[in-house]
Amino acid sequence: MLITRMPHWLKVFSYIGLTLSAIIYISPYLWMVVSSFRPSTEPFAMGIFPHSWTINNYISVLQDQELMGSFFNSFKVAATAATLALVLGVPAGYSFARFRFRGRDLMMSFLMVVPTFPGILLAISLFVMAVRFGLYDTHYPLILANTLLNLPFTIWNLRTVFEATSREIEESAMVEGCSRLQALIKVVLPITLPGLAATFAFVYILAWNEYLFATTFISTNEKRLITTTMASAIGQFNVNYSKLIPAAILSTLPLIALFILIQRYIVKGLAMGSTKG
Amino acid sequence: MYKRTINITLSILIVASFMLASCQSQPTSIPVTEAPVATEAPVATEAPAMEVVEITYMRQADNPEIELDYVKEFEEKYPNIKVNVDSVPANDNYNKLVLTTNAGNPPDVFMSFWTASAVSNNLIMSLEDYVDKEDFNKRFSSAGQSYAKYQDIIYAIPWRAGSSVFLLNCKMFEEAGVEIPTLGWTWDDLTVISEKLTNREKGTYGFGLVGSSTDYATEWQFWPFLLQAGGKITENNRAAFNSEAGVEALEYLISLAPYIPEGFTSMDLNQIVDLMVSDKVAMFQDGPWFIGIIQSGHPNFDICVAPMPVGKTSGNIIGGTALGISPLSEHKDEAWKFIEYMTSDDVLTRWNEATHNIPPNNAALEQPTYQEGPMFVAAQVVNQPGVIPANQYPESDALNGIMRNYLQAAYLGEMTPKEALDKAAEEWNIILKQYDN
Amino acid sequence: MLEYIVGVMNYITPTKNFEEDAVMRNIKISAAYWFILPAMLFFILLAIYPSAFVLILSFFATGKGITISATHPSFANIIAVWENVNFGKFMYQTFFYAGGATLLHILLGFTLALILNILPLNPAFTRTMRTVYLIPWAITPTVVAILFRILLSPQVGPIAIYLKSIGAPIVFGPLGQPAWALLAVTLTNGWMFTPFYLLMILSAMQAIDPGIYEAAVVDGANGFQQIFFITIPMIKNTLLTLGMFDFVTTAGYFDLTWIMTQGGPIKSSEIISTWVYRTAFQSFEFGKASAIGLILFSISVIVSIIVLRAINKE
Repeated sequence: MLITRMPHWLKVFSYIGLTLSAIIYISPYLWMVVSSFRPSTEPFAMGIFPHSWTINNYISVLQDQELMGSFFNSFKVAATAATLALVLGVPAGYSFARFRFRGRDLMMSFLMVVPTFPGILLAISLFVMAVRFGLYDTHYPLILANTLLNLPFTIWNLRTVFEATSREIEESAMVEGCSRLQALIKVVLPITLPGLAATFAFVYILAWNEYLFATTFISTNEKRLITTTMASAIGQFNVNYSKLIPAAILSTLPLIALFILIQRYIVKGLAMGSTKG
Repeated sequence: MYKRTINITLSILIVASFMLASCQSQPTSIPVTEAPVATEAPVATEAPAMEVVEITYMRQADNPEIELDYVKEFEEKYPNIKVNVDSVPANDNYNKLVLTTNAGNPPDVFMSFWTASAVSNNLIMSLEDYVDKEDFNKRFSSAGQSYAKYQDIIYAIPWRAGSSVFLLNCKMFEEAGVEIPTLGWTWDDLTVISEKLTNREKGTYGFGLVGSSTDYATEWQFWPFLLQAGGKITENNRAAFNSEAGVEALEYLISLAPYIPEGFTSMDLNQIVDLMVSDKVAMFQDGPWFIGIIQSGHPNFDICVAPMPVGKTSGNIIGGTALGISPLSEHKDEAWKFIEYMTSDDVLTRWNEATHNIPPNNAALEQPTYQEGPMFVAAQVVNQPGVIPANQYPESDALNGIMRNYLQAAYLGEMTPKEALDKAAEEWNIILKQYDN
Repeated sequence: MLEYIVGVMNYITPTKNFEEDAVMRNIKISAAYWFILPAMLFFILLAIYPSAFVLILSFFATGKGITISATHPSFANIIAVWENVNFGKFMYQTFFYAGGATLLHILLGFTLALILNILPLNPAFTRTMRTVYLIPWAITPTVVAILFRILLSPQVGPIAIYLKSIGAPIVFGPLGQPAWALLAVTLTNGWMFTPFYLLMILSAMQAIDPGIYEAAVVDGANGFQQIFFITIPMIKNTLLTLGMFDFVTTAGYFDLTWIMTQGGPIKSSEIISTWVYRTAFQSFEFGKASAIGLILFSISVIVSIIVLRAINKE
């Protein structure tokens, strides 16, 4: 904490101010929550708040087998993509952080520009690849695509995390006879766990909300991800809001739970990471 | 020294993958039409055969699920054909078709509402060799027939087809003491009625017009007025809507602005329906499928239907969806059997009645459902003179987008109607030129 | 050709001074490459093919579809894109969108991170606030776009209803007005993704050793001085890299703009990604679409290299 003393009135002001600004900031989301209780027969033009509140929307969404199943599919894809990103990204990030080698900056530049590739073009080419390898309508190309999309960010993020941990830790382990890899796994990783968790959460969230690849790579209902299932409420002529909004709200809940989890990690761990190990 | 090694290695890798990629991605151009291939290994007879053929059917995800019942019926009737249903969100159907066709694994059967675009991009094949022409002409209404054809070739078999109608809020009309318009009402009548039903202080408007950038309705709602002014959309593969008739039609619509909700250039169909159901807009015009959409979404709402007004002449467009087959399908015969079943009189009738749509086949139109009430009016509209099928030009998506652009410019007052239509015609012709043959 | 590529790459790779690590260098270098291998292999297998695909299409596919119609590389697609009368307009709009959103993300993210980090408030409150601020990022972008169309509607949305109820004379419908559509989309993007950058900047801030602050306090620095002379300089690189990452990814971002405005009205919110989509899926000209993507990619590469060299000069 920077500021250690604060006049009492300023503190109260801060609490109120922050709370108010937070409410204002998420007001669209609050409107969404409120609207999710609006029956489908009630038009939006009638008012900001629903005239008659109903939980039928949620009931029908929860009873929708396909929708609930797609939650699980999304979880599968997002968790696997995030894990794979970590598995590939940890050694790479560590290498960028610890070593100086020729081509390092070139590779960092390369990583930075990969995300600029317009998603649609990437989708077209990866789609052709997936079909050629017979992987169409499976979750594998989805996992790989999501990992690919998020890998540059993962590596960059992990590099920052590793740079923030002091070298002495693994160097003292190596003095005692560990190889660098062993040192990394046994000593450094436990300390950087919060950073890893945060990165995992980032990739998870990005993969969870990804739409373009999810819709084009899958064609069987049972394998759908949550983003596609929600989009099926968007029709050619009209949108089924009473299905869309509750599903969307439900889709945010696992992510919010994830936020809360990693919050604890970050607060506890980062403070540890920068001091002695 | 290391740097050079790395750089050379990376360069070689990149160049190598070029060559690799160019070897792999050399798809041969997709032929426009294909003669039906002689039946391949699994023969689709009605007796249970040894091999089961799987075909993929791509449908719109938001269509009523009753459609899936008919698919099951088909599978029961033909036990050797299994149908994999791929429900894709409506607005992604076309993209997915493009992607899968390019990758080589398109759906065998799909629901098309952009047949002309699909034809010009070789995504759909001609059904001339499969269709029994006599049967087709007898069973389907003229509206149904016209919509499934492009340049006089049958590319798809219609599922639902209808011309635009006026959808009205019965209650608002009653309260204002205005009679529901009947066949023969004119543009002047439309202006008068819109004015009577508009009360800006109360927040009610007589006429709803869509002007959004994201909705096909923006241009869809313009075409009938163009035709009613005596104009044409295209002629001899060139844009013809920037004629005097076109300018007249556009100017007329702009003249209705006092009766249209403000900010209509960001209003889409969703919002118009929303406004009508909350008694804020008295009428709008679009395809008859809205009767079903509004009735199923708002069962307590009284909806009335009126035919299109008459300008210099009567005119309307027909739209709808139809089932087509991909030229790359490996099971064309089975795909055709599927379409045959789904578009048989029996299924079409049940399907359309259940979803409150206007069917394309005469047998269905003779059902009692279509003999009275809003459905009757909607069914009749199709037989009015001056009705042409919509989207009868190549790259219809791109061309419609251009039209939408310039209509908005005129609605916003950034261009005069004449300027807007001329510019749109210019851009249309650049694209249409590519299809001169 | 090969020599040329190598030459270019040699130029853009800055040289480093290796004298300091001379002792550990030989051992370290081979380990370094082994560690990077899995990730780089993954990239090569999955990302080089699409890149090659796009490059080939740009130079060889001058007709419709993805068929290769030219026998030798031709610049026809790139020239057609360059000469497109709207090229400049779309570029400008893309930069406005990407730049505006980036500025919002970084500035707002930084301010919020600062407030949440430095004020001595109840930690449970701070944690709750952080979670609450993250919520907009949790909503699927496609849903946000569809719902914001209603939110910003001039007749049907809550904002419009509220304005009408207080009798405001203005017509609030930004998505239908060329002067406002791009701004509306930019602000929506800003709203959606600021939480992400907030979290990144917050992590960077918390990685700063508190000891430095304590030393500064001992030296008599007040709050503002601490912010300007400690916080900002120490996370400057993070901010720059984040900003660059933000800019290039937003420039290529498709979903939000397409669903909210499809580039309209009157092409006022058309950005590179929507233009690519139109060219590829509506006009079916994949070669030209790839050329557009290629141009955007090249610009991003140049920008990234400039920024990274600027950072590394430190």
